[in-house]
Amino acid sequence: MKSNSVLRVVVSGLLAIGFLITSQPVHAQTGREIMQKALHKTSWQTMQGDVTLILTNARGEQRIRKIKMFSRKRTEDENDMLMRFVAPPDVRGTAFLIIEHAKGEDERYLYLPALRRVKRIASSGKGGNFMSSDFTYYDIGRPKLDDWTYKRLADTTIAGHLCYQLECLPATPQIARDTGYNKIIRWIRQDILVTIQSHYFDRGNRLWKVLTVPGVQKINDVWFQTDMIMKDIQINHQSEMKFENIQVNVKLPPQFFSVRYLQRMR
Amino acid sequence: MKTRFFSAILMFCLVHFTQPLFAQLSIGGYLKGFAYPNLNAPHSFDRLGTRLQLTFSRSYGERAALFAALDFNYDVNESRNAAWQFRGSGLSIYPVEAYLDLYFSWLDIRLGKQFIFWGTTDWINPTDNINPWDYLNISSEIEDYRIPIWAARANVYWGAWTLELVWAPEFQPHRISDPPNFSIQTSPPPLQADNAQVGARISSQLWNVNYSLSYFKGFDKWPTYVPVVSIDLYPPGLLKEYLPITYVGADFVTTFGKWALKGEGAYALTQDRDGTDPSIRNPQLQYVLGIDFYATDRLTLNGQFVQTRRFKYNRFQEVAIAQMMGRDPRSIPFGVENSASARLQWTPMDFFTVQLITVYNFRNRDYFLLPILHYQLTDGVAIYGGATFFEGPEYSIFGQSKPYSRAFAEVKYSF
Repeated sequence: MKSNSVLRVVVSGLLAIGFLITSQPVHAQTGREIMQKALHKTSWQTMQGDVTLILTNARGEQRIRKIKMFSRKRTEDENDMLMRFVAPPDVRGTAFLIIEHAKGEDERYLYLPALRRVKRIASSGKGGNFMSSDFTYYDIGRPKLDDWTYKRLADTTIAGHLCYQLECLPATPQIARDTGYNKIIRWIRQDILVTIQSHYFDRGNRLWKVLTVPGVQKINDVWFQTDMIMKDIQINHQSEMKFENIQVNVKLPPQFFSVRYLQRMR
Repeated sequence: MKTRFFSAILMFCLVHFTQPLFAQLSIGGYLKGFAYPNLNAPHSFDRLGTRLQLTFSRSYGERAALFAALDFNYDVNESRNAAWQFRGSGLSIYPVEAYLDLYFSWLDIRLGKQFIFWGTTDWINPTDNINPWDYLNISSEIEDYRIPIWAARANVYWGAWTLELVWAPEFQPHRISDPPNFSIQTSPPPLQADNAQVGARISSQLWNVNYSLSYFKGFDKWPTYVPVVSIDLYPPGLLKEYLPITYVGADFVTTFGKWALKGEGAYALTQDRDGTDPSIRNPQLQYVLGIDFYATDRLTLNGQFVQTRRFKYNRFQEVAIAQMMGRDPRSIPFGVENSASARLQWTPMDFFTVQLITVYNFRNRDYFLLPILHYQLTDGVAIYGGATFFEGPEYSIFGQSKPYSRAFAEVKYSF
């Protein structure tokens, strides 16, 4: 069930947010070559950071969630991630653990302090929303190169940065079904190979969501998207994810990504 | 009441005399107003009041942590003569939880007043026999309808295995309504070393399946009513006892795609081992098989089948004796009974969630229905609304609880 492995998607993305990077400009000619370089392997084994998730609905009402996030590359194809809500107070202590398996189902566990219980849960798929936001697990992860076909469009300048422009089409109908996308247009900065804008089209080929990336930061020689705004055009809903205090290769206990630690207070 | 008073004193001492330990204490909690209008009883409100809960937590790195939750509950409703008189009325102060966690490389220990929940299924958990229920106070808040207990719990970790050991010195029964028209004398197990309750649960994972085996030896939280024969006693008397019981159980859960399959069962070895005493529950097996479907991020469905099988059970004899005691023979269960439960969780719009939980007994067609509406007004402020409906013939399990049907509304500010 490699293709269903949401965690691989989530972890690589949420933290290292894909699209990374060597610091040297790339002279790739085809869309696929550009994307391949953008998806270059990351150098971290463990990572932790603070995430602020700002949800804004059509009426302008905002809810702000603060999340402490930990991640580990267990193997080349398997990642673990543990997230713990620290704010607002009514969801504080809620924690979520994903253990990815290259073969077979990923494991997902949810700890709800209000119920004092860890619950194993199924997923609503890669197209499921991440923490009730406009980001899906697929959006925030690192896409698999072969899941898409790439067509290089004319280079353009976005926010003063020269960008490659790629049209990505799902390689199979299953990918389209899983992600909910019929097409993605990505703008990738040519100097650091980080995506700074994307347009997502629904299965009726209508513009659905727009991703903008106001913040990128280099930490331990790795470029991260540290501020991402995803706007759902169709329902006028917006989610912003801000990353702070990112640390890579931090020492975590061997059993940290387990149900045991999921229900701990730290 | 005495226990509650001493618990509050103990809580105060714990906080006061260990003050140096609390240097970096995190304080949180909530303030809520609540109103629970009765739906079938003559009183207008079951509960009406305010609660302040203060939580104190302190983490000592990887070695230890402290947690305590103290409730200041003010209920204007007079409960002295009601079935829920144990709740008290006016201001009551009591610790909900107060425990110390100690962490070692292969062992975690939790000491103090706590909740310990076992099992994988929803709402009906045959293996979950440590913390009793308050069946007269079901609401949106688990700490209202589950009762914390003083206990020591140790979790031993060995590879993929976890062994959980529980020792609970104090017995607390379920809170239910007693049969009407009887004079009730209660005889709880005294607090002594011999009466401590113990439990063990070993859990692991095989392929994609999480499973556990469990054992619990203690007292039945459901009372046994024994007739007291006396010509001087009016109304007729019942002695309410809590008898020893042993549970052996197992549970599992696995997922595939958008589905989760789970099951749980326990065999209860009661004191009526040969099935001859109609006042005592017969040995029985109860199991639950359920499935969750995560249709979308906003819609989750759960359905479960529940079966209870009584052993050494002679219903004719049980009915005959029930008739002699003036009980409705239709209230006497069959040897095998089936039930179903369902849960729906739906988020139709941002920050608003609807949850619907129901349990249905096939034999008497009685049911329990709990809708809960939750709206997050702003960060930290939530409004809850809902109701607990008990419906069915008067002789049925849920039909008997009909007078306790109530609605509830709460406004909760968390900090």
